[in-house]
Amino acid sequence: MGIYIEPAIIDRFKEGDMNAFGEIYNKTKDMIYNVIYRFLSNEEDSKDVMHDVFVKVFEKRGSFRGESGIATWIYRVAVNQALNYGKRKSWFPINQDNIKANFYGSENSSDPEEEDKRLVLLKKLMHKLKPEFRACIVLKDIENVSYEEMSEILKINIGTVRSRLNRGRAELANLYKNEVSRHGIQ
Amino acid sequence: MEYNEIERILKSMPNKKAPEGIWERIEGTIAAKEEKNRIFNIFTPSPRLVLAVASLLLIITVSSIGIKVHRDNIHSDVNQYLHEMAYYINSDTSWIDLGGEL
Repeated sequence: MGIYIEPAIIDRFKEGDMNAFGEIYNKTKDMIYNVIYRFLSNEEDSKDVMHDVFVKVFEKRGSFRGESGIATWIYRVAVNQALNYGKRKSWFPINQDNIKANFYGSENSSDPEEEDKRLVLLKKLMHKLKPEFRACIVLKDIENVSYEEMSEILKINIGTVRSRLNRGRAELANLYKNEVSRHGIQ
Repeated sequence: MEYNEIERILKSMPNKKAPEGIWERIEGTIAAKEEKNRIFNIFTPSPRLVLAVASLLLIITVSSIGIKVHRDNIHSDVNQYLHEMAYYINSDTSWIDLGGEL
């Protein structure tokens, strides 16, 4: 994940030192927030999931064995937490207007006039995909995670990763094509 | 449209900064959970088990007392009814004398 955290800080974190945990948080927060936001496309939900992820990381610190980097471990927790949150939310219909308002109204998002309309549309269409398809597209096509890492993070074999990714891509392309032809977005 | 084009657009998604204030919430939640655990851990597992068993016994005892009182009330009502029946059967008073009609 490209983030180095000194072993001494990790040791202190494992002993429950909040200052060490704070240092880990500061180094990983943007990366973790980005991946959560890419799953959920909603600031309020992303903040809640971010909070839950780091509370869980602190509580489960004893189970971190150092087989992978701590940033990778936190990343995995974040992906799974965001995926579960997305699955829970998919029981309820998502109001697409709220998502749109969130993109446009967000303090961090760029000006809608300047932002690529196609990107706004794609973000919206991503929410029409099943969470497991969306997860594969976010991890592979946005986050550039390898198939092996995706397999580990999502706890499915590489064949299933590839199959879900292909189905997700096909579905997204189809939805995009229909929307573009309907609204004439260039 | 080729999927490559969609992938290119998705990759252009800007990076975001984590909003302020989340760390304070995390610290607050962890502190609250640790305080809860501290109180819970005052009791070691054995006293916790004893407390649980004692609570269960108390619930069973109170329930049995309630059932016994209710059963005694029913017995008392039935006894009273049987006594009144015996009184009328043994008395010389006929149904007609009591105001009934044949």
